[in-house]
Amino acid sequence: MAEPILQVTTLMKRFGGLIATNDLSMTVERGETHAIIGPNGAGKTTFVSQLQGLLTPDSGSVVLDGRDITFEPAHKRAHLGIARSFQIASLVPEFTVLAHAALAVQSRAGHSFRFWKKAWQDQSLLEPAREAVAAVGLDSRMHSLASDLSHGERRQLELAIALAQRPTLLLLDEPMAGMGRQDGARMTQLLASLKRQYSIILIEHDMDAVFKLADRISVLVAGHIIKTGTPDEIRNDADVRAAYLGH
Amino acid sequence: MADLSANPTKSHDWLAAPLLVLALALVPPVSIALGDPFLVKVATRIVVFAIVAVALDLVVGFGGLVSLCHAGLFGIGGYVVAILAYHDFNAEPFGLGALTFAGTSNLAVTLPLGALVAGAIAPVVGAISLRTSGPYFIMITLAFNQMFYYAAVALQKYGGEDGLQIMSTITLGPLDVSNRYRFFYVALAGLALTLLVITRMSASRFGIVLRAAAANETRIVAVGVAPWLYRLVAFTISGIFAGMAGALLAASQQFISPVDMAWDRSGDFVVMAVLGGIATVWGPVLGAAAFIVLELVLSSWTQHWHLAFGLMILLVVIFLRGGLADLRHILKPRTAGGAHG
Repeated sequence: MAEPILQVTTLMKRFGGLIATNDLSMTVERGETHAIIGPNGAGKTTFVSQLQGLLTPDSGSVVLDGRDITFEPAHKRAHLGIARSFQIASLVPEFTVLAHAALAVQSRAGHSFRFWKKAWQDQSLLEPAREAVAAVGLDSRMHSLASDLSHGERRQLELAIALAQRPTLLLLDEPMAGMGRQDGARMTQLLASLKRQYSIILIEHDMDAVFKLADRISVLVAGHIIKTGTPDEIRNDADVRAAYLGH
Repeated sequence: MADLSANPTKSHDWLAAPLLVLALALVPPVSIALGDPFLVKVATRIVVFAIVAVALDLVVGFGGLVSLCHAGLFGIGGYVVAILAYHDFNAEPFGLGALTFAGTSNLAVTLPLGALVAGAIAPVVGAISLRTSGPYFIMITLAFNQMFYYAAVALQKYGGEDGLQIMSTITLGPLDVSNRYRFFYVALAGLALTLLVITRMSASRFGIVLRAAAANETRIVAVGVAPWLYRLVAFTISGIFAGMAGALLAASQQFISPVDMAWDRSGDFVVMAVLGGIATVWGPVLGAAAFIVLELVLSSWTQHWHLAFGLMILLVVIFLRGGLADLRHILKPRTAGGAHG
């Protein structure tokens, strides 16, 4: 089998007396959608933050595409191919939808020490940005301000920004959180269409979506992965049912 | 055409800066017609302060960083002009370590030099101050302003606390600009340049990064941008223009003193920028004009003018959230969908 895109080995993270990430090891294969499920407070977002680089682990290692990135800062990891969509949409209220995607394109293109040319006339930014916005189905809101978007649209925009980064590994932190049934279904469909194009870590509480999208599922309890397997294996595992699904 | 942010590029806002410069350009003829040279004196002060307010807007409005050391950088530019003019007048070479230079009263030399010296000091201030943020950033820049102030007081050779009078005739290349009207247009050209550069920068890739970093640092780091260096460059560019304005001030009043760079002047600059409207590049020009005219008018009525002034600022902040620049929405009803947050 080819080398995995992401290899996490014995990751540890403590906050004072609380062990948020406990001896966590996992791999994500190329093109795989790997879901992480677990009860509230299991340390899912803390784990994603260590992958993105907002938090530094106390010990253990994170290897992306053969390169040890354990201590790389977040902005470097973005250039190495990690994109994250945030659980709580993290946007610039006074920027348009298109501007958010263009910002990601601009960052990917290298430094932004360009002082004179008007960014909003720069087709090399806008073309890829439009593509990313269209890919998540926000075309009609291209020029709306982020502050005018509905909750569901903000989640879509989060995803569009991540796609505009052309990532090798997509970290999706509860992309359906707070969405209604209809929006959630649309997002699931969208993610299903992106599957295979990207390697994805998906954190999600919506079990229907998880079982539909994931190639493999890891169950995180108290910062530790107690089980990894295919959706069928996870569904039928007694320990998992006891720890999580049964609740 | 797609605008990248709320900055209503679709509207006629781009006209505001040229119109303001044009309006200011009419002051000298009006002043001559009315036989009131004082008007030009006031307008020169407005233009000089407006340069700093616009430059400060890059840091405060677009960068989200409240700097209280711009009066210091402003004063440094002023002292460069005054000190070199002093050495010119006394025909005494200016020594800097092993190097010596002849003094000069030529603004073609001293104006860029004042801007450059301020622009060389600004990144030192910025590199240290930008290790902090929020209130700590404000306090550190304030501390730097005090350092510059006391450094100027300590310049005994150049008048110390009393300041330094420019005795020579200020020129610009072959042109004698000691003429008040002529000098006004030199200063106005400086303001036009500042407006042009900052306007272009605010809409460039650099400006986009700067604004996004101010609004949401997590987001910009997540897409791969470390904002520190962008902020430092913005701070430095802002400092360059502040230094240029200080050089113009010294030349216009033929005098510079530590009072010109006191920390409360730094506060005045922030008030001018916010009063005018920091969401636009040109708003601070209105802020500087309103500030100076109000100061003049109110202080001629009562010595307690600060009270009335404070109340007026309060009213603007409450009723015009975007500063005086928001008056354009009242004068011309905004078009549907063209609203901004």
